[in-house]
Amino acid sequence: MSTPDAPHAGGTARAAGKPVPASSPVGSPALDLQDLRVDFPTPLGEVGIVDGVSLSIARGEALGMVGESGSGKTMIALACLRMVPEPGRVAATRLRVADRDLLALDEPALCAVRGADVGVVFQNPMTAFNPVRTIGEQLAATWLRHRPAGGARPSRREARERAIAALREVGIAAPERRVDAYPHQMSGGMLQRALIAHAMINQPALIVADEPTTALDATVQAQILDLLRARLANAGLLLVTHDLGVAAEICDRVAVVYAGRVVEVGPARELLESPRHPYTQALLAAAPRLDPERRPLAPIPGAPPSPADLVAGCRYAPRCPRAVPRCGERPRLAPEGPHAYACWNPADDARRAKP
Amino acid sequence: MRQLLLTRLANLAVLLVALTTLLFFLLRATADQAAMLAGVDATPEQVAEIRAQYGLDRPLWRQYADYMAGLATLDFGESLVSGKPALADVVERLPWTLLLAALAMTLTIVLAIPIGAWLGSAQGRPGPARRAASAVVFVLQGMPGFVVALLLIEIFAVELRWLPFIGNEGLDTWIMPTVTLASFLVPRLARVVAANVAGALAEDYVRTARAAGASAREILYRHALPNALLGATALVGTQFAFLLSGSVITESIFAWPGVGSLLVRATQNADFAVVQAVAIVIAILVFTVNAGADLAFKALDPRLRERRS
Amino acid sequence: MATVTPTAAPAATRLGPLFAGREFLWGALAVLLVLLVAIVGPWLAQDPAATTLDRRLLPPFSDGHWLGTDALGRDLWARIVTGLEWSIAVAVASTAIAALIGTVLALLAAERAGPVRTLVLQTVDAFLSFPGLVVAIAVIATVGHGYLPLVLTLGGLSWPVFARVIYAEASSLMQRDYVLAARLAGSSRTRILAGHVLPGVAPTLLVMLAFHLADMLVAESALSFLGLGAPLGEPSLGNMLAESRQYLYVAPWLMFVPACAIVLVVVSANLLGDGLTERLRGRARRAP
Repeated sequence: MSTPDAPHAGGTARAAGKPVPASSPVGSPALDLQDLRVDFPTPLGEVGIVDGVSLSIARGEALGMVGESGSGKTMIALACLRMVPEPGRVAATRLRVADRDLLALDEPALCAVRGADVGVVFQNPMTAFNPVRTIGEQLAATWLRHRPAGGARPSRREARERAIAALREVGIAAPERRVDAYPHQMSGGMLQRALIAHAMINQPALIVADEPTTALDATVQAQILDLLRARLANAGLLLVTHDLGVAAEICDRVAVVYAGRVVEVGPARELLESPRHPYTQALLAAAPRLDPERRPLAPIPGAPPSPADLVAGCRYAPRCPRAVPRCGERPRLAPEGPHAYACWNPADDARRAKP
Repeated sequence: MRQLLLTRLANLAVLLVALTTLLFFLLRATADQAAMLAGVDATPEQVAEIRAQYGLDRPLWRQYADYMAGLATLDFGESLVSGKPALADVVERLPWTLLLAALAMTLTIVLAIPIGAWLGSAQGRPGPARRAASAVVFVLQGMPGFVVALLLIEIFAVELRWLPFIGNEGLDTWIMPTVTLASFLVPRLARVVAANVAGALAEDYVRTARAAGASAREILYRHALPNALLGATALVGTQFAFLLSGSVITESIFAWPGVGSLLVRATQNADFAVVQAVAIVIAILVFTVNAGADLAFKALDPRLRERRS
Repeated sequence: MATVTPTAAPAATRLGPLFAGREFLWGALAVLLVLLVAIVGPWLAQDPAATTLDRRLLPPFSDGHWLGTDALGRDLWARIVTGLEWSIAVAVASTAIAALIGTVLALLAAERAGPVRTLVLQTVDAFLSFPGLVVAIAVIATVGHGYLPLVLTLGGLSWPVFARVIYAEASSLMQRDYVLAARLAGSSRTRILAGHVLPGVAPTLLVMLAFHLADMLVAESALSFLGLGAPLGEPSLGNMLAESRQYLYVAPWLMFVPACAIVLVVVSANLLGDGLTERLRGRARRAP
């Protein structure tokens, strides 16, 4: 990684200086999701991969979405683009990005939204760019695609300048040269920066990052996360990750997803310090930490359920140590307020119990 | 790059030496050429005379050395049929073979790439039209070229009387040979393009482009198809070899005055000099096309271009 | 980079949906039926050489000749089944020869680097970029017609098809841990090849046999059609097609019947090959 001039590079935890989301965000929320469902038809009938998820992200706010693989978190991210693969079906009472109702748009209109109002950073930067086109061509194409029709069509030269500027903004050294590089000529970390530049080139209102650091070296991960956070400006960020620590480090709020449902959501620090849902607790206990206490890692017993054999009521109940008879009913997110959890028998508030 | 050309040249050399040596010894082992040249009712004395005249009485290794030396100077001997140098016969007919190959190749590209792209863009969920089309492609692939040719003749020359049977005068005589020869390649190329397009559409970079607002059209034309065709370039060599096999059959059926029909006629007449000249000219042709395809592939793919310097 | 092995049918054009994923079943059934006809048919049918000059060029569904008769009044059905017998005998024998030579050389080449590997791979490359029919014709021009020359030529020239695919498969198997373990445990070369590598390449070999059978049948018919394969008068499918050309105006069924027979056999074998590929791929996917 050769980007000494990267803004905010260094990978120090920024928990202390984390910007507090504005209590009354200017303009419409970046993402407003109400009761999202993603269903897939199977021989046994419809299976709800995502089952009644409600989320909202304000402008300038970062929301971490944490869950195991197969929990449906990537489907939620794809639903924000209306890109759920066939034969999946998306339904919601509200699915708005930057005040555009995605459910009301047809495919050409959706194409106009994707890349303009939402930018996406995918998991594996090594394969995310077309190997036979230069990085600059691919950035320029995305910029040109979303220039308003009618007005003077920008020149290729102008698009190239935009691509160079975008690469410079994500801390790529010598962007005038890198703009003509092919993907195989760049390192994974640099490609992920380029991919972030690609996602942000049209200043979208929402950025979706699906496991943006999983495929990268540990040393580069922190740089990329810092970059994402730093370039956010007035956009909202949906960070999909399986790593609660990563989410807590750069996000304002965290939502924990289990088997297609949000089981707990709240301000990052509060969730980390005082998890109320047993699943969140288990996730924290299973995560390695640099703790002076060095407690042993506690794996979660059992395996995440496959979508085909979900139980009625709370889907975590079969694995839950705190399960009670009432878990046969579906719990709703409660209480009203910033920190909510869907559990009939939540853990005690750690902060109140330990004053 | 030079390395690659040298390898190709080495391949060609191995092939030519193996082929000619094989032919030489097979010929000596299986037939008494002097007796054949002398004819059925020749006396033993006449046969012996011819044997001496053509140097067939010398030791085998001498004959082999002379034979290889002759080949090295492109001297294959004279055609028994025309009496001209065998190579001249072949070179004279080569343009017709190349013309037919070029026509068929053009038709193949015009048909196979759109069909393949269409079939490949089904994204794993083909509708009835695509299923029917793949069934047709599948059956066509199982249909040998001479069957296609006979069906064409039966329909367009015999029943409808739209097109002339055989020959090479006038553009209307070109149609059936071109279609026949293209029928060898269209199903194969269509299937390759379909597989490559389907593969490319499943790549991460297509998802990136889609998430950045690229339309299905843009993705197909700017990402999937170029990458799929680039992959197909690697197969040009084997496809061209297949095309030449096809032209032997096609030219024979339609009496097309190319190298392929010459080969068949020479074989029927036991005109070995011409058979060998055809084999060697075709070997050189194949080498040239393969080397060209390699160069093109290297020039088009940036990942390979890199390593040149 | 997308590469296409000759055995793998592109997923996008597979006929799975059409056959509800039962390509293998239908292909196997069709191939068995063809084999049955080719083996039993000649015993039951009339004499394919018996000429009846008063019953020439009868159309199909005529009395006593359900597929009709040819220009010499010979029964077409009898000629088709004996032709199938001949063509399939050539195809099976030459496929067996090609598979044997190709597999043995591929395994030897895959076992270790050295002059054998270089020579085999060079030869394979050279052969595969050369039009096979041209070489076959050149060899046949030299050695003459007949069953044995045909089989030896087709088999002896087409083994590189097997060698290339089996070599690729075998050399990747040679890198597996269990082969390495066997080697470290002191197993002999032949033991490793026969005990570990050969079973590993067997499924691929099976698929290739199906496709190659079809290819050889087409090659035999093509050569016979050009008058360079089956001896004249022998009822091979190619010969029948060649003879039919003179009667296209008066008796087109003489062309349609053998043409349909060839296409049927080839499509059946291809179907079987595709079905096998699909089956084995499914098995590979399930395996850990």
